[in-house]
Parts: sequence; structure tokens; C-alpha cells
Amino acid sequence: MGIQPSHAGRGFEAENGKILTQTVIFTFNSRPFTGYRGEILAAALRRGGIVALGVSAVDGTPRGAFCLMGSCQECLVLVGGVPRNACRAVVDDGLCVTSIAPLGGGS
Amino acid sequence: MSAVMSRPAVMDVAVLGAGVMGSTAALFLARQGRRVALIDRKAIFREASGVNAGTLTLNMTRAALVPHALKGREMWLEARSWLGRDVGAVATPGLSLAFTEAECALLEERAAARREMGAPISVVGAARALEVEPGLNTTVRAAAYCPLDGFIPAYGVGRGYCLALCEAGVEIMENSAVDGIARAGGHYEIVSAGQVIARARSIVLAGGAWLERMMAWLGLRMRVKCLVNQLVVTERLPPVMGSVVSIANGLLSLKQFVNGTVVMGGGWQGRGHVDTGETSVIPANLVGNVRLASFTIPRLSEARIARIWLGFESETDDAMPAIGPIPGWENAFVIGCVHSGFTSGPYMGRLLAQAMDGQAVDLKAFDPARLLLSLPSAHKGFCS
Amino acid sequence: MTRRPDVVVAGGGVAGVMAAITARRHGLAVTLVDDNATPGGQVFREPSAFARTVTPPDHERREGDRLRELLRRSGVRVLSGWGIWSVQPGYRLDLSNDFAVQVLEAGSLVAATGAVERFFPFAGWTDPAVMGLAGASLLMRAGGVLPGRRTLVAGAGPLLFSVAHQVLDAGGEVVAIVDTATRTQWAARAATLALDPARLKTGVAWMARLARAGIPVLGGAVIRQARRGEDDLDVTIGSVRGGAPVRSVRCDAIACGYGLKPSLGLTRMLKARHVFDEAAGYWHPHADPFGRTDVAGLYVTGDGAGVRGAQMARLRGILTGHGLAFDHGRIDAATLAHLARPLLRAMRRLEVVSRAMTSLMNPRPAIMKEAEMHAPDTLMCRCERVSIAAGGQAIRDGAGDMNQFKAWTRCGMGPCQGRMCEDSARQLLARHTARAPTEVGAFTQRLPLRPVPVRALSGNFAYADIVLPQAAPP
Ligand SMILES: Cc1cc2nc3c(=O)[nH]c(=O)nc-3n(C[C@H](O)[C@H](O)[C@H](O)COP(=O)(O)OP(=O)(O)OC[C@H]3O[C@@H](n4cnc5c(N)ncnc54)[C@H](O)[C@@H]3O)c2cc1C
Ligand SMILES: Cc1cc2nc3c(=O)[nH]c(=O)nc-3n(C[C@H](O)[C@H](O)[C@H](O)COP(=O)(O)OP(=O)(O)OC[C@H]3O[C@@H](n4cnc5c(N)ncnc54)[C@H](O)[C@@H]3O)c2cc1C
Ligand code: FES
Repeated sequence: MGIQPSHAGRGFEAENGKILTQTVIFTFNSRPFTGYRGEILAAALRRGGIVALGVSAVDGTPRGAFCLMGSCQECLVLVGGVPRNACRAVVDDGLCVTSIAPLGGGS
Repeated sequence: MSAVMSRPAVMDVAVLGAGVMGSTAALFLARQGRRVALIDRKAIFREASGVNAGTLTLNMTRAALVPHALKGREMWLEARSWLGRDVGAVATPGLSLAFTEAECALLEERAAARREMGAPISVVGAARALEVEPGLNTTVRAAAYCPLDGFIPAYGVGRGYCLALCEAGVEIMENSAVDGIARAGGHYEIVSAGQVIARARSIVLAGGAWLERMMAWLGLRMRVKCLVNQLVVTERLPPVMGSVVSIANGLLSLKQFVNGTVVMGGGWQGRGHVDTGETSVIPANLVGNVRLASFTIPRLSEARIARIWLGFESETDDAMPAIGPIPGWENAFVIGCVHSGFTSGPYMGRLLAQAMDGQAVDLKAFDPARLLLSLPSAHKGFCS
Repeated sequence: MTRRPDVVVAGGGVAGVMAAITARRHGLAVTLVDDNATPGGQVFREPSAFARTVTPPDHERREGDRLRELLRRSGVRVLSGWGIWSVQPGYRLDLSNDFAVQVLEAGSLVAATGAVERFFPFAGWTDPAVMGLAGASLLMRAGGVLPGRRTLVAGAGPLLFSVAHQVLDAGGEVVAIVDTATRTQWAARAATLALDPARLKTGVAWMARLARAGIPVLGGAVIRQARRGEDDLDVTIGSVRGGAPVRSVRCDAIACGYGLKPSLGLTRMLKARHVFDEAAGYWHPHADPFGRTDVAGLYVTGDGAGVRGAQMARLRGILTGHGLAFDHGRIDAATLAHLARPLLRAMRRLEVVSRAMTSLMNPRPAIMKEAEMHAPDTLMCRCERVSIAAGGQAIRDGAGDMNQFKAWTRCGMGPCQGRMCEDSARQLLARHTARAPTEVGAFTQRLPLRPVPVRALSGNFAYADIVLPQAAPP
């Protein structure tokens, strides 16, 4: 269900050179992704085609970042084993990001 | 409340307070064929009975209450048979833990006291404790093991009661804060905001932490201890534990609900005042409670806290309930203020209904008279 | 331990930053706390290095950068990346990030926590390709990333058009705009826009652009259902007044939202007086123009005092800063009046326009009614998956107020703690019990204001470090 947004990539600010040096590699569910140091995880992942960050704890249906302002809590992922909101946590080199495992419990 | 109100019909019984005590009494009274009004200043089961930890434990119940807790626990597990629906009660084993030598001694002592009162509790070693609860901190030294424990998600229980009460014909009056009772002819008049909102031949006072105030309406002073209990709930987690866990000193109650959330309690206190209903968290107590819980079940340290809340638990000096006739007042009864009252609530509520029906039940140990102080004195209304 | 500040400002949006800077200029010691990585808040959220290269440097970016620069040089102590999860009178604030906690104390507290988006459900809205309008806007602004290739924009209020404009700017496609407000409703408010020429100009430019691009704007309409297909969504659109579906479209992302409402965590916890704004459809703390609430030392500023947009938020922030200075004895009444006069004048003009926009965002009971009629299985509570039908059943079983409704359904008990579903629950209850929304109450505000990691709170400790109260009696 990947969405690969097309970007104009018009280079609005002449920072392309500087930008490239900020590129880092992190993983999401063991897959490598490219991000820019300091950008929010949710954005880096969506650019990489990841829309579903995890699943509903109740019934396992896929869920993604919804509010991007720390309200909905649906962007919760594990970053290096620590639960964090992907709309708040920022990308850094070598981050190991995983979805939270489905619970498989009742309601 | 409507401005114009016709004179309410005289009911057989008016029950004041729609927690587990009042609601159970009302239910069984109605089943005996009485016309019952159940009155609460808020909605049904929204105070202690709707916000409690829902532990059905013998390890933490006061020893003297074990026989009653056993019966209450049974009733919850079989709610279908008397409430007409399941309320989500789950039977699990229970463990009370010792991490230090001092706690080991305490454990032995407390287990023995409960065993004497009929709780099937045995003290086991670390290996057996870890077999029962693999999620435990492996530094555990000993545990009091009880095969009969369990829990209920308390917040939803009021719904089952509401339906059952309606089926039984009880008139439920919510959002009706009673502020006085008057004797008029052969019956009682229940007054709220200057109006008589109900009339009844008998009354049952079941106001939980507010019982001291209710008794004062009758000119009586009953000593009620009020605790402001703190509970902490996590987000849903994969299974991290399967039993009800406490520690020897009684300051922890921990279990994972079917939905995956873990509730941490154990009588840690917040601040609050029963008159205003205001409560607030004491930060050091929050940290202590959470540390103890995550020490005991280490995987809890990966969780996030979703919510913290406080509720008013009331207790008499001897932790035994006040159940029975109110001295000096005809056809007036009281029920409440027992330690761990959610567990024994259904059993005790039914007992009162049976007693009011003239059935031979033994309420001696619960006699409200033992709790009455002769001289009315100004009450503070503060909870520590 | 740093010095105890005179003022803590909670929230690093434009209002909070301006309040902090202004108070600092008057000589007060100020600490500002904000839970994003850098200050700026929602509108002026700092673009990532990547976003700076792919989206044009608009007014908000320039203004935001200026704000950050001002703050950096202001002498205000800034704690970014820290969220306030507890507040106690006096004031004690407990902060956490994902790893640690800390405590701040100050005699004055400015709640500048802004607004949160208001949502109403439609069938399929939990699909990960559906996000909030504010969320989509932040994704593009801060991340330089589009919600999707073909985005459907739905809901109410000016944010609809702002998001559509952002999507186009970033090179994306807007499939359609689905607006609960009708053209007539917009037209009725258009005249007031003339009072704010800047906003009018922007609005006209946006509309012209949409028209040029041939993007359909469906008024008086609402998404009825979004069904997941092979690799996109099949969306059915209906009229807010019911009846047969009016259109169906395909898209791979939906951005939806029904306007903003003040974020009330702090003021609710501190029991400040709140009033219900009928036209806007939300509660807000009662405050004077300087942001003083009825609780001593508690101020509220910016959108948190009632949603009025960025420009007003800035002015309110400055006013609050001056007010703080006066209340701390740094300036006299004459100076305060002098400083406040031009700000108040500017605010009076903007107020009319802002109010008109706020009322456009308020769809009233229409959405919930529509959803209940056409798709009762629609989830009103995303976290706990409570359907509208299940909510209706709980009400019929006797749940008569918000908190009983929550207890009997778990709607509002999940990780969002009711932030996503409170409005739906209120409308459902109000309609089913034929009462005003104000009469059915609100979810009780409790701690933590945001989830707190257990490990952050407990810290590293040994068993002996646990301070145990007295043991329970046997
Ligand atoms: C077992 C269990 C599990 C739970 N799990 C979760 C969970 O997973 N997620 C979650 O979010 N929550 C959970 N809860 C918490 C649930 O929301 C609690 O029941 C609730 O938080 C506690 O109270 P409340 O929010 O309903 O507050 P309320 O009950 O709404 O509090 C009402 C307040 O009004 C006050 N009051 C008293 N008198 C008056 C008066 N005269 N006028 C006005 N007000 C008055 C009362 O003192 C009280 O503090 C759980 C609860 C239980 C029991
Ligand atoms: C946080 C917490 C955790 C707990 N955990 C457990 C546990 O794990 N296991 C266990 O067994 N027990 C537990 N308890 C204890 C248990 O909840 C109580 O003992 C039990 O619910 C008491 O029931 P009640 O009906 O007497 O009181 P309540 O449920 O408090 O009911 C009293 C009712 O009286 C009403 N009322 C008061 N004044 C008036 C008035 N003037 N007019 C009309 N109505 C009025 C109130 O609104 C309320 O609904 C806990 C308690 C708390 C607070
Ligand atoms: S997307 Fe809602 S909290 Fe992160």
C-alpha cells in the first residue's frame, strides 16, 4: 500500500549541497531508509512510502500518523526499543525503528 | 431539575447512594417485591464503585473479611446467575511477594492470619512463584500464593446493574444530590435542593465515603476514615502478566486486564476532599507506586502511563462494614465503609436486603451501633 | 538547578514565544516549554532541511524563522522537546520527554498550548491514508512531504483551502474539496473578510488557483465512506442533509478536519472557569484581554484562549507579556495602557473576521447525524474502536453524561484520552438525550496530559530506593 509522493524538488532554497551532507540512514522494521538529520520520523517514513506505522491495539487494522501534533498517539513506534511518537521523534543516523507488535488480545 | 414537581408517591424503600452497596441492596429488595427508589447525586456507579481497581483478592483483604470476600468473589464470577449478565470478572491466581527478609517474615504472618480465616493461601518459594507468574522480577524471595484471586473492569459494571435494576422495576434517580431527610407521618421524605424528591417507608443510607455526612442528617456521628486511593493505568500491552500481584506490605496491587492495560494500585494516596470531590496526585507517591510496579513486573518499564486517577475509599476503624438498622430511627438502615468493599459488595448488599426482609442473617459483627460516637463534633471533611 | 523563573510559558507557538519575549524584555525571568523539537508551534513549525528545498519559502516560514531568531536572542530559557504532563496549583509543572522527567516551578503560568483539531468520523477514517488537515499541513510544512499523490481535502473551515493550496505548491494533486459549509454560508461571511485585507487577498488568490486548476469544491457535502481498494481509496460523498450520495472519487490520501478547538489540558486541570462558545462549538477558558484567567497567576493566550488564528495569537501573546510585566510590578498602569492601546485596536478589527471563520468550522450536529444514519458501524473512537451504534446503545442503556458514556463504552479511554472523540461523543449524547451539548458535560480531565513512559518516570532505581509509605494494616 505504498504511496510514493512525487516531489517537485525545485530547490527553493539553495541548500542542496548542505542538505546532502545531512542525509542519514535508519531502519524501519529492518528495512533501510534515507532521512535528513533532524526531520520528524513520520515525514521521513512517508517519503519512503510508509504510510502504516503500526496497527490498532484493539483489532490489528493498520494505522498511520493522523494528527501530527502529539494528540492521537497513533504514530507510536519503538525507536531503539523505546516507545515514541513518530510525529515528534526526529531522524538520526542508525536509528532502529520498529512497529509495535500487535497484541492479539481481546477487548 | 424541573421547577414544578408533584408530590412523589410513597415508595417502600429509598436507597441513597448508587454504588455497589446501595445498588445491590436495591436490586434484591425490588426482587422481594418492594417498590424501590435508588437515588444518587451523580450517575450510578461513578464514585468508588466505578473507579476502583476491581481486584477480587484475598491476599490484600483484611483477615477478618476473608469469609465475606470469598462469597463476594464467587458472586462476581457468577454474575450471570443473579445480575442476569456477565460483568467481565476473571478468575486468576494471586501472589503476594517478598523481596527482602523483613518482607518474608511479614508474608508468613499475613498469610497465616488469612489462612486461619479460610483463605487457601500457602507460602511458596521463588521457583514456584515464577512458575505461576513468569513475568516476575527474578529476585523475588518468597510469595504467598492463593489460587482464588481475580479482577473485574469496574468501570463497566454499572451498566449491567443499570439494566438489571430497570428490569427489577427499581426507579433510578440520578443527578439528585440529597441534602436532608425528614420524618413525616409514617414515612421519610428525601430532600434535594429544598424539594421533596422521594418519599419512602424505609431508607437505606449507602453513601460510601459520604456516609458520615448522611448519618449527620439523622443527628448521628459515625466515624469514617477516608482514603484517596491512586490508580495508574498503562496503555494496552502484550501479555506481561497473568495473575494478581501484590507485595507483602500490601502496597501494591497489579494486574493486566483482558484488553491488555495494566492497572497499578495498592493504596498509594493522593490528596482530596470528599465535600468538593477534588482530588490531586502527590508526585512522590506516583513515582513510588510506578517504581514498585515496574520493579515487580520488569516489562512494565517499557509501557507508557495512559491515565492516573484517584477515588474515595471509605473504611470504618475496624475495617468491618456498617450494615444494619440505624439506632434510634425506625426502618432506617445503613450499609458501607468496608475495606475492599467492591469484592464483598454484592454479598453484603444482598445480606442487608435479606435482613430487611426478616430473614435470619447474622449481622452482629457489622452492627452500626459500634461506630457511633455519642457527641456530634465538627467534622473536618478532609482526607489525608 | 537553574534559578526559579518568574514565569513559565507553556507552548512555543507564536503566542507563547511573543509572551515570553515580551515578558523577558520587561526584565522577567522566563522559561518556555514546548514539546516539539524546535519552537514555532503549529503554523510556524520549523521546516526540515529537506522541506526547505522542496517547498517555497512562504510567509509562514520567514515569519517562523524570524520568531526563532528573536527567541534565541531574547534571554528566555527554552526547553524544547519537553511536554508538560502534569500541572499543580502554585505552579508545579512536571515535564517529560521520551526518556526523562523534570520539574519546573514558577509563580506565574502562561498556558499557550494552542489548539487541537476537531474531528468527526466517517466510515473508513481509520485507514492510514486518512489524516487530519492540520496533520497534512504540518507534514508538508515541516517535512516537505505530500500526504499522497492524489489528495482529497474534506471538512470545514479555512484550513481546507490552505491545505489544498499547500498540496498544489508541493506539486501534488487535489482531487476535490469537500466542505460542510455551503457557498451561501461562505458568502455570508465574505463581507467581513474585507476588514482583513491581507487575509482577503490570500483567500481570493487561493480560490482563483483552485478554479484555474479545475478542482471541484463541493459545498454542503461530507465524506460518507472511504473504502480501501487495491492501492487507493474509493470515496463516497454525500450531502450534509442526507439523501443519495452526490459523488464518488478515488484518491490515495484524505486530509480531513472540522476546525480547531482550544487545547484545554492545563486550564481544565487548574479548574479555571471555562465558557462555551456557541458559534464556535467549543469551550474556552474565560480570560481578559491580557489573558488573565480567574485563577491567580494563570494566564491563557493565543488559540488556547479561543481560536482566532496566527495574527491574533501574536497580538495576544504580546499583550500577555505586557500584562505579566504589570502584574509583576515592572510597569505602571499608564505604561500598560499605552502599550496595549494599538494592540487592542488591531485586535478589534481582526476579531470580527476570526469569529466569522470560527463559525464556518463548526458543523454542528450534522455530521454525526449523517454518519449514524448512513453508516452506524462507523468508529467514533479510533483508539478503542467504539462504533456510533455501540455508543447509541450505551445511551439507551442509561449512560446520560460524558463520563458514564466513556465508562460504559471505553470511548475516550484509549491513548488519545478522548482528544479525538470527545466532540463526537458530546454530539451523540446531546442528540440522543435531546439536550444542549453543554448539558451533557465533558470528559473529566486527568493526568497525564500526554502519555508518560514508565521508565522516564521511574528513572533508574534499586528496590531500596522506593520510598514506601506505611504498610497497610494486616
Ligand atoms: C479497572 C479500571 C480500568 C481502567 N482503565 C482505563 C483505561 O484503560 N484508560 C483510561 O483512560 N481510563 C481507564 N480507567 C479510568 C476510568 O476512566 C476511571 O473510571 C476514571 O478515570 C475515574 O474517574 P473519571 O474520569 O470517570 O472521573 P469522574 O468519575 O468523572 O470523576 C468525577 C469527579 O467528580 C467529582 N465530584 C464529586 N462530587 C461532585 C459534585 N457534587 N459535583 C461535581 N463533581 C463532583 C468526583 O469526586 C470525581 O472526582 C479505568 C478504570 C478502572 C476502574
Ligand atoms: C481507587 C480505589 C481502588 C479500590 N480498589 C478496590 C479493589 O481493588 N478491590 C475492592 O474490593 N475494593 C476496592 N476499592 C474499594 C471499593 O471501591 C469500595 O469499597 C466500594 O466500591 C464502596 O461501594 P459503596 O457503594 O459503599 O460506595 P460508592 O461506590 O462510593 O457509592 C456511594 C454513592 O453515594 C452517592 N452519594 C454520596 N452522597 C450523596 C448524596 N448526598 N446524595 C445522593 N447520593 C450520594 C455517591 O455519588 C456514590 O455514587 C477501591 C476504592 C477506590 C477508591
Ligand atoms: S500523529 Fe498523532 S500523535 Fe503523532
